[in-house]
Amino acid sequence: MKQHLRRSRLLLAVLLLVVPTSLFAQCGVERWSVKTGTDPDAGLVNLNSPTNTTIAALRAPAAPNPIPANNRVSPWETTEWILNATLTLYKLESDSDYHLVLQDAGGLTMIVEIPSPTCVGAGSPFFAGIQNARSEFNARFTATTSFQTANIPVQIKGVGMFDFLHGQTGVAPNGIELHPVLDVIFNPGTQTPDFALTASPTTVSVAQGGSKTTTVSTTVSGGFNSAVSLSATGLPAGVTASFSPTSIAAPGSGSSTLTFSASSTATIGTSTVTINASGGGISHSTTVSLTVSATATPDFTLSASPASVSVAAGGTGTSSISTSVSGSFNSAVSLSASGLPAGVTAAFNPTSIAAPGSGSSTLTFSASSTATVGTSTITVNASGGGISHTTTISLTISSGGTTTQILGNPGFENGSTSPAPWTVTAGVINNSTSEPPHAGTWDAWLDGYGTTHTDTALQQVTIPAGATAATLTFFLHIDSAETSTTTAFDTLTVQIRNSSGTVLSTLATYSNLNKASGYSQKSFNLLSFKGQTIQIFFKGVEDSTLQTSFVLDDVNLNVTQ
Amino acid sequence: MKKFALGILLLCGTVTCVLAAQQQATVDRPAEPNFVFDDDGGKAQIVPADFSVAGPKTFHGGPVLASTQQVSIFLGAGWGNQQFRSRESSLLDVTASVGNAHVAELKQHSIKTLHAAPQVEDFSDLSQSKVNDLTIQQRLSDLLKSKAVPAPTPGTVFVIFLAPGIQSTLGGHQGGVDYAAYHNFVNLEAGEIHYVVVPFHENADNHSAAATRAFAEAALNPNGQGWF
Repeated sequence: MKQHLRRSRLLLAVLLLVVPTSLFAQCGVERWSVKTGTDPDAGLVNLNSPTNTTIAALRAPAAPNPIPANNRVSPWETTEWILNATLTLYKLESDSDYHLVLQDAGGLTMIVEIPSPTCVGAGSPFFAGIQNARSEFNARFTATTSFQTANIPVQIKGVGMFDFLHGQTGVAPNGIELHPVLDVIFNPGTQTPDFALTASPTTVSVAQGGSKTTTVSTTVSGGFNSAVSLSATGLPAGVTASFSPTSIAAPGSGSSTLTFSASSTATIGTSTVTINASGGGISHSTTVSLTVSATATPDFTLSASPASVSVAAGGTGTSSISTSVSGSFNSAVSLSASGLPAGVTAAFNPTSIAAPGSGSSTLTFSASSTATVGTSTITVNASGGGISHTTTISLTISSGGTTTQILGNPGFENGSTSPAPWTVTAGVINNSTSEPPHAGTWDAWLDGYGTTHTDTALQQVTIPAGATAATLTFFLHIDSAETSTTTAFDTLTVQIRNSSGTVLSTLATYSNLNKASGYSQKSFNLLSFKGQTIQIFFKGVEDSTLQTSFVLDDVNLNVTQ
Repeated sequence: MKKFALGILLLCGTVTCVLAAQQQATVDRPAEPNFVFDDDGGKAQIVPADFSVAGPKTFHGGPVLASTQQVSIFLGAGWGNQQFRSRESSLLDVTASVGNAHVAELKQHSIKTLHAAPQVEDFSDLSQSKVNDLTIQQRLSDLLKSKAVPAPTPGTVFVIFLAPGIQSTLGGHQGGVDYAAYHNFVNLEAGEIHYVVVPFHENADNHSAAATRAFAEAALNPNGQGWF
């Protein structure tokens, strides 16, 4: 029954670290990649040969069913259309789009939308056009969050897109829109041929010996029709620039990838590179801020925690050895130890840190019963990729004695009918496979109900007055349906109490924040309680919802005397 | 809305009439009662903050859900506070509200109400931000992509309960001021997703009532062309 309750109360949960932006600096969600040209089919759109059409023609086809979330429906969504109509209404939407309602002479309407350039992802072939259309619209009107009336002839150039019907104002019956709009001409027929030049990104950083790219785009207006040649000036020493393609074919709208290649000795610093574009007797330029940085040196760091280890003769002790790489370091790192006193061995698990070289290894010191007593400085050596580093550990070997485990029923293997000398609340002693033991058949499973509940387990024991070491160890596994990474809703407290139940020390508190797969061993020094009769006390407290299970096994109190 | 504004412009030639039309435009609401424009140009049905109703429902020829299953998402760090977290259990299955008129209405239309699915808690701290409908849609998209919420069936209605301190907005309208809850839908890679957003309400009864009504309206009018 308990297991059933536990399983039934395991609730799915998640924590996502998505932070919303403010109301009007936000982008859309539905078909957003298609609306802005970051979908996988964006390259299928022919931007070099726009096609004249009408509102009636665009409203004619049936809406596709289903409408693909991230792909295009040909030819409607792979064609750049030119549309002459009357702009009747416009509005700024919360997804940062300008929502424009167009109407033809017969009263038929449809929507065209100009996204915000800040909402267009990198690599969109529409970016320059969207930026261009947005600028053209802003030069004429100020869109607000309410519909405003325009009633002005326009020529719109844009890519077809079937939107889902949500009751949009002015929507075509089949949901088709021009989305995004790439060019707006108000009162068409009165424009001067010209083109616009943009680069994205406008800030580029390249390391010595490396290369980076930016996209240079052109859009035409007013009937401009010519190839546009591209060049770059103002490059720092050691840096070259190449365009692919080297010019934009007529009629002059398109993009080119500009690659900056820096030699290993390129001048470090920031330069303003001027990009020049010429065609049809017209020239424009824009700038890119180019920063050349020094190549980071490949390296790694080495550390040991703890850096001081005490081991009784005949016993063992551990330290965690960690490495962290920087620059372009990418190699396995081998580990070794030197300076060990007689009778002590050192073993690493794993023996090396796999490439790229960041990770940790457990170093275990094993002291024989005749190991040399005293303190030594152990040097840990780490080597990889032609680089070596060392760190040191202070190792103290104390005289040995006889070590005895003094707790009864340490692995709870007496089963649920006779847990003594443990005193436990109902249902704690467990042998179900839902929470398997660390070893043996049984364990102690505290909580896991997903309701307000407290479980305890305690054992009373006397630590001999002549003890020279007393170490409490246990294995703990925590799983939880809680998802918070900041709030401890469910807790396990480990305490030492006297025989009357008065708390002498709280050794540790664990919670849902410590949930992890598998068991981990915990260790506490209880030598300060030698000569006393104490209770080893575990208390699990669970709140009103979402289960947390605290599973204990192999609780040992090793006393040396 | 558009026809109304143009009509005013056609009928009037004076500056006064143009101003009147512009003032009308600033109201910026669809003609249907208890509907508002959402964040990407569409319309969404709200539960008004005063819980007023728009009169008897009529059928507009569009789809109605055949069955419903509530999947609750408790969004915001405030739900981590025990004082508020204890309220979650009363919101997990709004169709279990025996005697609720909105639940009874679902049965009148033969809409089955399945047992609610397990809830999801997302304790992201959103208290310093306005959470608009696009944020909700993006959060749903993320939850579905990460499989943190179950894949939707045709009857799934995600009910997002916003934690105290989160300011909800919808197309310029404010949660708690203009609406007590709303429902909407969005098409994602997982398909058409129906959802309800319920801003926190200090009064537990009103909180539950808003969620229940919006949930029922999501079932009766999932795409804006059903019963309303």
